[in-house]
Amino acid sequence: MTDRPLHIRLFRMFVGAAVGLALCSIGAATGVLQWMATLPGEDLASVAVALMMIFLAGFAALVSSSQGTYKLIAENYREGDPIDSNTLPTMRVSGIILLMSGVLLLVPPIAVGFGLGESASMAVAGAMLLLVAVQTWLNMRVLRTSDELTRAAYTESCVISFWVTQLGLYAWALLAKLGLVATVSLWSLMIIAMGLYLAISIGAAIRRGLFA
Amino acid sequence: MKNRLRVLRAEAGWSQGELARILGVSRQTINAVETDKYDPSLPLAMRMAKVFGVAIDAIFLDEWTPAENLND
Repeated sequence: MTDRPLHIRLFRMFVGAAVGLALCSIGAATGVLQWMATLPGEDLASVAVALMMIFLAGFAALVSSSQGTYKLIAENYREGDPIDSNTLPTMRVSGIILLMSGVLLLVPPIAVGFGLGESASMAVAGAMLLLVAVQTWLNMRVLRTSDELTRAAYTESCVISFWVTQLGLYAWALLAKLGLVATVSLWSLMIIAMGLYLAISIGAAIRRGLFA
Repeated sequence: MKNRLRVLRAEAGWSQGELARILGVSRQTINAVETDKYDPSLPLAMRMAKVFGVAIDAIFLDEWTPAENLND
């Protein structure tokens, strides 16, 4: 848990709510929210998770823009320590990874919405697979250059995600097999898995003090 | 696991960042150990013991004891 005073934490919550309200207002004014309302459920979820990832990527870029900004956000810099030399670059790379994840979830539903032909769909698929390859390489790079705390949080996220998604998948498949619930598409399953991993990895990072 | 890392570090006059550099880990790792959010690996615990010149169990406080009938 953070050791910041309650009024600072409340102020931060207020800022978060104000930013959320501002983003929703922008979305409504530009027609994005109206467009999202016309999307099928799985595409809506995909776009929503993608926008959240892109927003987090922007937040990571802002926080890693300077040592002063990072210290404002981090939990504990009471001793006046300088930030480790690789903290800000690693955070920037993490922001790029999040941005790529957002694009991976955002582009396919939009491409389907445009009603692309076979060759254009193949081009989009190729571009997305290339992006996945680059993103995987960046993830490996972050993991290789991290110390044991980051690796522990990463391992914990992977293990919890595996168990949660495996159990969830089994339960849903069981109910669908018995005709008790509707079957869902591969894209829906992927969105659920990605959303769960995002939530679990943020939880693990906070629990282990990675934002300290 | 409870530990005395913060006390030992303060006695040595090091900041979290200085100790992190000596041990070759991030400052977040030192902070996470001190606040009981993370138990370090055995190699890192041994490095801590060497740096402070104490035994590992002088840093990490484990209340576990073997059962009395261990040799029965």
